[in-house]
Amino acid sequence: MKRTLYELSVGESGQMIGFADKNTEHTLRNFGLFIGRNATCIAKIGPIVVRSDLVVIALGKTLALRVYIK
Amino acid sequence: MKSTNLADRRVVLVGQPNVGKSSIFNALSNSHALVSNYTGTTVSVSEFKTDFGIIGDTPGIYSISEHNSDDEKATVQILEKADLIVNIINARTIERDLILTHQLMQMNKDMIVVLNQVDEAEKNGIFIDDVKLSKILGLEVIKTIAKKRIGTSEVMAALESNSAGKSGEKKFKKTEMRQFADAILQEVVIRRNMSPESSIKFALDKILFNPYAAWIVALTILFALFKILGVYVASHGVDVITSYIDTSYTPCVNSAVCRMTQSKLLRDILIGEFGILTMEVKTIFGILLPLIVGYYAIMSILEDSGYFPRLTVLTNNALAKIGLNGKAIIPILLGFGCGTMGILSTRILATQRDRTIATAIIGITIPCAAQQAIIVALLSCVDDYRIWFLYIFIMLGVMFISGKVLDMFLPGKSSELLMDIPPLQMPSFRNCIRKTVFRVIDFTSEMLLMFTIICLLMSCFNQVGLLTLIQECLSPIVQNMLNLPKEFANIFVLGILKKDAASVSLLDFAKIGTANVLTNAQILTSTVVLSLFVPCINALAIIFREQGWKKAAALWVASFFVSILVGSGLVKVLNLLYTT
Ligand SMILES: Nc1nc2c(ncn2[C@@H]2O[C@H](COP(=O)(O)OP(=O)(O)OP(=O)(O)O)[C@@H](O)[C@H]2O)c(=O)[nH]1
Ligand SMILES: [Mg+2]
Repeated sequence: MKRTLYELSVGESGQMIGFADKNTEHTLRNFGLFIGRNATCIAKIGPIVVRSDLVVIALGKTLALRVYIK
Repeated sequence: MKSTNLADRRVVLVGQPNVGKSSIFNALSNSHALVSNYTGTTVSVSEFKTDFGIIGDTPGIYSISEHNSDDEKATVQILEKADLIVNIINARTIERDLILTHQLMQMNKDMIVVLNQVDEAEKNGIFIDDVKLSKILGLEVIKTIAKKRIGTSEVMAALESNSAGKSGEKKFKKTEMRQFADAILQEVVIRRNMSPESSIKFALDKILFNPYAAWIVALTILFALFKILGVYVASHGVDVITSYIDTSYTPCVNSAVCRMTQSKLLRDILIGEFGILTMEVKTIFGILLPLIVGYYAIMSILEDSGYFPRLTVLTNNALAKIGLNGKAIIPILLGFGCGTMGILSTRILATQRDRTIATAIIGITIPCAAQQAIIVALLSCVDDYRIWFLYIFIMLGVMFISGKVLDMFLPGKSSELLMDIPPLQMPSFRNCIRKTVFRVIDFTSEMLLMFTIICLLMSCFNQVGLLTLIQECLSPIVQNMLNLPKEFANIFVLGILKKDAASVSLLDFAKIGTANVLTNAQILTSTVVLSLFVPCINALAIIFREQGWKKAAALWVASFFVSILVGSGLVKVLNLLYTT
């Protein structure tokens, strides 16, 4: 089982290594979440809020489950 | 094909959401497009003619692709007609903004790049070498801090001197996006480690993203809003102004009109029950205006601070229960100001399904600022606190049920939250004042027009005895089902045109001679019925435009029946409550 972005707990970081599909990849790339970059979870209150470099993005649960990390 | 005259060419401002397009648009054209700190403030293209071209402000787009929503496609269409593209980039997030820049460069049009928000970027340790960037792109690059109008005159000068370069023939035409971005990032972006950014912002974010603390903050803001508007403005402020109108203005106008004309019709129109000079002036300037000013002032501060995107995260799970995601809180909140504004901003929601549900909820259950004011005043005539709770409980209940029903019956699934969270910022005093003033002017001019029409109509109906006829026809509903005096039918007729006007006359009704014209139960029933009653004419017009006539009609009919049904159900419950 691959780990997903949603499994990060607050304060924890992970490196994004892939997306479940091309569509998710394109959408998230537009928001500044790129493969190979680190993402840090800064909040998890229903949706998850992550910071990657200088962007802060809120993602719904199902979307966050489509982002693989290590 | 290309327009040669400078003033006739189309200059289009494009960029990702919230980069500052509208701020730059305002600086270039001296107009007053809305500027707020959340993505999706601008929902439609607005244009302004200047000496150096027709400048267009567009809703933000992340990229150009086949997945663009209809609204994004509208921006892309405007782009195709552009003679000159001004691509605005947020310096703080330059890496992702370059995706769009790369795509725009493929369009083979004249282009200028504006690097905005360099202040925010530098605070975060991002320094950009604009000269190098300009060399690599082969385009003019201008650094700006649009919020403080720094650099915007350079943008204007560039537009006036028509020095923009063609982008298409440059070496990046065929290169991969990734290589393009990497080349630029390596060569022009200098990173310095900065001491962690303003610890106040950091601490605030900790609170706003903490599930418990954030709810406490949200409820505190709600309570403060209620306290300021409902108590200070609605009772004290309004009392001062209306008593001035009642004691000084109205008697003056009355005697002047009586001296001027003997005609009963004219007197009725000017100073009668629905008099343009009496009822209309008192309603708009005495009751609605103070509240509207207060409401919009507070909303502007919240919009500017960057609180809304944080509220989106907080309310996401609650809204998911009615088939929406957290983003819908923004149109709903704007709907508390004015239904039409809320319905327009449903465009920021990702799918048509989300928009329909949000529109229905705004149309049926969200009372606009003017109406809330009167609701507060009405309910304060009641000395039973249970009435307040019942009111809020009923409204939330109807909201929940209507959302749930739509969620069940509309095809498809609710969309997922995906939202950029911009940094918190100190609200700009100038921007807040400007927004409040322009919104209040818009509101007042619209109100003056609508109220004049309504007052004229009502006076005419009254003259020909139409109102009495309607009262008789509606009495089975009004008297038997809702247990209200039959004159309440007037309020219904008013409500079809404009709900706040109707609420005002309800307030008059409830307060007549301070005698118990209406019982507590009747006040609650009438307030609930009116809150849920059909959307006013202008809101209906917007729903019609945004959602099509079928949905608009369905919503109108549904809200009509919902209000009557809930009202008559409530009468039964209240009977039990007050007889036991
Ligand atoms: N720090 C900083 N903030 C800025 C600057 N320019 C604009 N802003 C702020 O950025 C936010 C967004 O500005 P807008 O002009 O509404 O941005 P927009 O690109 O029109 O946004 P959308 O219409 O939502 O796509 C506002 O809160 C502005 O005050 C700047 O140069 N520096
Ligand atoms: Mg804008």
